Amino acid sequence: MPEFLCLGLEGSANKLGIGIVSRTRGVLANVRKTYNPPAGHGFLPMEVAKHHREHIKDLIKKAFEQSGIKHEDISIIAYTKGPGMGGPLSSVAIVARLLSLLWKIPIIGVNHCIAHIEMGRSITAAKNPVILYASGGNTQVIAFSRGKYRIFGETIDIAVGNCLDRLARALKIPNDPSPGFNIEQQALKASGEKLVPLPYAVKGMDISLSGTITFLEDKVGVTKNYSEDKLKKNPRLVEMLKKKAHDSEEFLKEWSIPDICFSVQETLFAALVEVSERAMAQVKADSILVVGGVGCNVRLQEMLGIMASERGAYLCAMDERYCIDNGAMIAHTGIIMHDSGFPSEEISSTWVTQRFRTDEVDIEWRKREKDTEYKGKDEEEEEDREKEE
Amino acid sequence: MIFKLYQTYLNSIMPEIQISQGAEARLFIGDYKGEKCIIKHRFSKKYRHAILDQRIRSRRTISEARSLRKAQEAQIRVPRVYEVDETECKIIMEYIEGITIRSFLLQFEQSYPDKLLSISSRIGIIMGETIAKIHKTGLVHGDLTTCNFIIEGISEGGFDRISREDRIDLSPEAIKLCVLDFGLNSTSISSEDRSVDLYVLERAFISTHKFSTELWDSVLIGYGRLMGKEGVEIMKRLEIVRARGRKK
Repeated sequence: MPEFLCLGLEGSANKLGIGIVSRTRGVLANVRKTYNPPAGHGFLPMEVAKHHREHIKDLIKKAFEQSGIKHEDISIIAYTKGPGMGGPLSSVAIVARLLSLLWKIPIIGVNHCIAHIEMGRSITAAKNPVILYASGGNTQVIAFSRGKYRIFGETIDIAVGNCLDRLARALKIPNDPSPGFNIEQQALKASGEKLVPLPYAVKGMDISLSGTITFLEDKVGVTKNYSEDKLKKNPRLVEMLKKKAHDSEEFLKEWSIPDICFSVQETLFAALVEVSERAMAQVKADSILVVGGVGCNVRLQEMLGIMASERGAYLCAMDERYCIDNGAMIAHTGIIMHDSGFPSEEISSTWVTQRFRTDEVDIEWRKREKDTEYKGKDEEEEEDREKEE
Repeated sequence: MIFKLYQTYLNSIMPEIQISQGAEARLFIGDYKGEKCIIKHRFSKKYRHAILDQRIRSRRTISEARSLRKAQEAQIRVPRVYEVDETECKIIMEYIEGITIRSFLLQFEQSYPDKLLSISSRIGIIMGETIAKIHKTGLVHGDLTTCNFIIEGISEGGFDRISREDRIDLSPEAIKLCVLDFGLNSTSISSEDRSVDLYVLERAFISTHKFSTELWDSVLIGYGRLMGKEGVEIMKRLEIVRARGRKK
């Protein structure tokens, strides 16, 4: 029987990833190209889509070179169906469709979040962890229960990575190799003795992060650009802008860029770890798996590790190859889905979607597992009160 | 001043018995000037930066104690706060003798399945009225479940015996509810926050109780009765909150 090989195409955000995974031999190729806007800017969907279109052909070739296999050997194509940015998603999906028709092989659409989780479980061999998925576009605390990956808590506004990206933009920290990585390096330079007082918003199992970035953007003086005309006509506005500029100068005198980066990491990550711990307590999990781009952050991993060990649990973490968006995770999940009986898709149904919730997918391949019977918060407290008697 | 008092006091009540360990706080039973008390300790988290850790714990401790006092001033039955230590993040409060609504309903279901519906509705109305009182004080509880309401005067283990002998008075006037755990509270009078507060309770019902719909309806009756005009606005908002319920 020939080897079963899957080509995975990922491009839901600013990373274009191509992976080739074998059912028996694992990852054969995992190549990536990242679109980085200049410092002080964010990435626009249109520009990212253009980047993906420009590089996808060469990247696929590179993946085949790396894997040492021929395209005739590929058994199935997997692509990211969502969630993500529409433009980039569809520019990659077009290529997936084209190859499926050209090579006459089946095609399967994969949920991006599920792919992160499954790749993480496969690499770290974590059986049934609570999952913290922290990236530029997503921040969720997930656990497997009753046939689905259920979202226990999540951000109610922006993702943690988005918050870090915007901080980098406000402080003009470079976007290459990634804003989060550069913030992490800056934070290492901080003394660690002082902490900028930042908003900290944990609401039950959910978190809110937009307040943090608004606070900082305001403090470091990110303002709208006003036309000369408007400024001339409006002396009070000029006055206000002057005062703001002065305030931000004062703020930056008190706090160095490393101090700010350090404080933001400490505060945001503490919120992530707190909700992760709540979820672990609720499902009585013995491990926590961290996935997504922000999951590479060494300090976040350290904090999760401390939290886990204090609970008698352990942390499962990975390096940037599999934490950051990649093609291998799409290919890997494509194979799992195929093997568990997910039908390959008709070309007409290979659309993409910006919104695609983690808990929409039936996790057929874990159906046979003993269901995680978790106790609600109510029941735990109940037991506590019973002990009281 | 209070802090010093507490320190000397703390030494006198050892040993304490730990009765619960949550993700955030440990509960102990102690003795406060001859009265049984609960000590709620928000313990330090090593993963957090020390400054942030202290800030979060003190803030939550103070906020909980303040809400409890505020609720008490508004004649809402909550545990009395005896002492607060902001640095150690401990609250010493009254120990409430009683049974949680959750436990009560589950046990009642066993003993009197045919009367469960009528008692559920009766308790629901009182719960609704209590929540309305909390909201009218400008507080939002943040963690309403049937576990955080205690029916006073009925002991947990003795339920079966007492009820069988029909010594238990379950007339609406006799049911005294005490509200616990203001750890996730906030101060707000917005319809949004109030309806989210209710929504949390509705979800807790569905997962645990028989006749959850009837129970919920009666909560809304009791709530609406006391909230008056404001209640209408909150009910509208509740529909919106339900529709967007992210974790459905």
